Amino acid sequence: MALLQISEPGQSPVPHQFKRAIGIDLGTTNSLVAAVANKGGANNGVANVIKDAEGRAILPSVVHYDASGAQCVGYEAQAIAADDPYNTLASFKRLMGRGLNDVGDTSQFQIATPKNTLKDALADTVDKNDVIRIATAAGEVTATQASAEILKSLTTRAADALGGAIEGAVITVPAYFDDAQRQATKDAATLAGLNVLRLINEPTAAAVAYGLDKADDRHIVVYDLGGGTFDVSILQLSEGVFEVLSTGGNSALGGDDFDLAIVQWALSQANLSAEQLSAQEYRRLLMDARAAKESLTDNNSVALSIQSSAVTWAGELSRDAFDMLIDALVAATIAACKASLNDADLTAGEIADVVLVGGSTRVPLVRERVTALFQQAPKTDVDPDQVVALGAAIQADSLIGNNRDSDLLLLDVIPLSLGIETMGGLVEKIIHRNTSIPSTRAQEFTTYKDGQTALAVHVVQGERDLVSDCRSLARFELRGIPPMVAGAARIEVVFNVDADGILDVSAKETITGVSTHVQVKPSYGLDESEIAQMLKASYSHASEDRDARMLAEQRVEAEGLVDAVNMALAQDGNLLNDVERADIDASIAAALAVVGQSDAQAISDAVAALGRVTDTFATRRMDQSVRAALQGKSIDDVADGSL
Amino acid sequence: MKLEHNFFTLLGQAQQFTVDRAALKKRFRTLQREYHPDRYAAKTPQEQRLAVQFSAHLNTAFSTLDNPVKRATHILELSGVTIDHQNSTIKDPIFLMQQMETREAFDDARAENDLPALESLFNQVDTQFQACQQDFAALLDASQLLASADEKNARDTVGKMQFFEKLTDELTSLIRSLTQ
Repeated sequence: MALLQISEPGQSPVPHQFKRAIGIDLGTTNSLVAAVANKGGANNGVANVIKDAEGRAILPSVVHYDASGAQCVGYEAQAIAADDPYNTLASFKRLMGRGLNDVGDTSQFQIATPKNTLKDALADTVDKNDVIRIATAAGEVTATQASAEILKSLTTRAADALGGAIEGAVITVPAYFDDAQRQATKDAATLAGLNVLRLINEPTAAAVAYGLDKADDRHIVVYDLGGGTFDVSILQLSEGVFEVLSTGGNSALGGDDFDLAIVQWALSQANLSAEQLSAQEYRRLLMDARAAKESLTDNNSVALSIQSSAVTWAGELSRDAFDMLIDALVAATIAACKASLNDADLTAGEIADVVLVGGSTRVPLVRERVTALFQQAPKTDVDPDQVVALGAAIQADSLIGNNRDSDLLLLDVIPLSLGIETMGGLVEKIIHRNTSIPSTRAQEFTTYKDGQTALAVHVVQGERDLVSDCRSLARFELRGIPPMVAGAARIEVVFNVDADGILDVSAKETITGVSTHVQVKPSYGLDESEIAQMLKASYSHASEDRDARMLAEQRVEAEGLVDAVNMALAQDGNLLNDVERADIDASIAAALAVVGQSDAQAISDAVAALGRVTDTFATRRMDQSVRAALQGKSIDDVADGSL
Repeated sequence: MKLEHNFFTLLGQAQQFTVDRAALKKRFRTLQREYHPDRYAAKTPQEQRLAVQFSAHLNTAFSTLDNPVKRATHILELSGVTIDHQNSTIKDPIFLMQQMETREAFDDARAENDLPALESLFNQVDTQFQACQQDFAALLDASQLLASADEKNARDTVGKMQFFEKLTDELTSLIRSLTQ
């Protein structure tokens, strides 16, 4: 046997390398990317938003598709929107993981401009139980695909700025996002070829950006009013651990509604209806309304006008009048704050810090009401537009291992209860909302009829008692149950929610142990074959070389795995006998032999083989570590061999 | 992976009904800091999977010990006494009579939106709930072993606790909705 190199316990055999990790705020209206700079390798870098070539931090979440199949995003797409509204998508985050049933009146749902509502834009093939597809000159497009274009653009921007391929990303989602919406976000990252380290909730990211983890034990409220969504989260901070106690909000309420309220006001003042304006004219009015809203932050009144072929109108909107227009909307957010306080078992007076997120929190009435509720001025020193992306970047830096000294830990909760349909269309809740994640719950069910061999399981998410009032997440059938009398079979359905808040359901018949087949079909999502197809299609449109990208991705994965295994061997090599050790070393050598070559499949196979051969080793390490922890010894003691 | 199913052992607490909630939370945080999947993001997929499992197990353990009814149920389960919360019945006639009266008072106060009555009812039920928890602690914490004669008693006490918990939850949410 060849002599093996063993490194110092606790130290990596490979010198610690700075890895390029980014944080992405994938917003309804605007998106941003940020990263923690590697300052002289000291890893005490500061998070910064990465700007585009023109020095702009924001990328408007707008995608334009043209007949040739090419896309453009951001400001470029926004500029085309007025001239070509039917092939421009905006606000598509509201469609992530949603079906037609969720959207309601499609004629009121604007895709880019009021002239391009979902009703007009919907692809003919979509039925009400399907994922929403929008017809464009470049073919049918889903919100997931449009989001992938935004992610790709931000990733390219970051890779240029950081000088190399991005190795991992943290993407933020509203805390209130349900399973389907989170899954759709992850699918978008897959389409964009991005390795997702974690999905984290926007409010949690904001608290991280404020560096509140350095503060003493306290309760924090994050009030996040974005373009299209409102979120409130209550966090408890203790010794660097952020624990989300409760979340609430409304995934269809945001600053865009303030703009629309101004538009409605202007139209009524001018005795016009939206139909009397052309797409361009309406879009102009909408942009003027947004500018008026922003102007009212620092001014007591603002001039507003409508120039259309039909009529010319000019008027003045005062701050007081604007406050009245949005009063009910702001009141709804305050009510949600109170509900979240109740869920967390706290009163407003027990809150130490209030953090504001989202451009809409610049509106004076919002600040006024938030200040009144919590009896203190909210924190505003980090730009509310950037704070989420900055927090995501800090978390990405920590997750990828650049900042090993960080004590920062986010313990999040599931925002909405998960359950399954039982007899009579009722919901049996299996995981309740505000349960800490990751979470595992098992529930037993039985058969209803003699000789029943299959069981249809319908997974839903929501707080109501009736299935029809909750969101349908997935349906699957459990087949191959041995025929027994009614009530004799014991079917265990296991719900696993991972740290991203994404659900995985499995089921088995426990008495006979007969293996049963489970297939989960997402109600409003894309299944894996669809994603694979979209990936393929995106390569044929884009100029990038598909094979080269796949190879690059496989290499990153293989190198990461070899690093991780080497680290594990250095720490706990003593848990292996000679034969096992030789197997692992051989697999590492095999992986290293192919990683420099250009056969992506060979690399992928080597990665899989190395994974298999280290499976038992991983379990033993975990068992040893947990055993030591339960005896009150730290992990370092174990590595030192002093156990 | 071997998962420790005695949550007291797992979270380093004495196996008894009375828990030090601050110590429990501190221990929980220390373990999550070590084993949360975020700590494994740069490790192998195998290790990441194990971390998700163990972290979820820690969450279950903490939420069990942090809640009086779940904690009592867990203690009994560790002593081999299983409780079927859905099908267990309490046969204590005095208790049942009291609870029917409480229910009626609750329904009346709810119909009238009578906040002072609801608050006084809450205090009354909460006092009974606390007393019930003390009964259970007295029964269990003195000796680790449960005499068979006490088993029925312990089972009933948990049933009563569950009843009080449900009622205090309902009262709390009703009082909150009226005071907002």
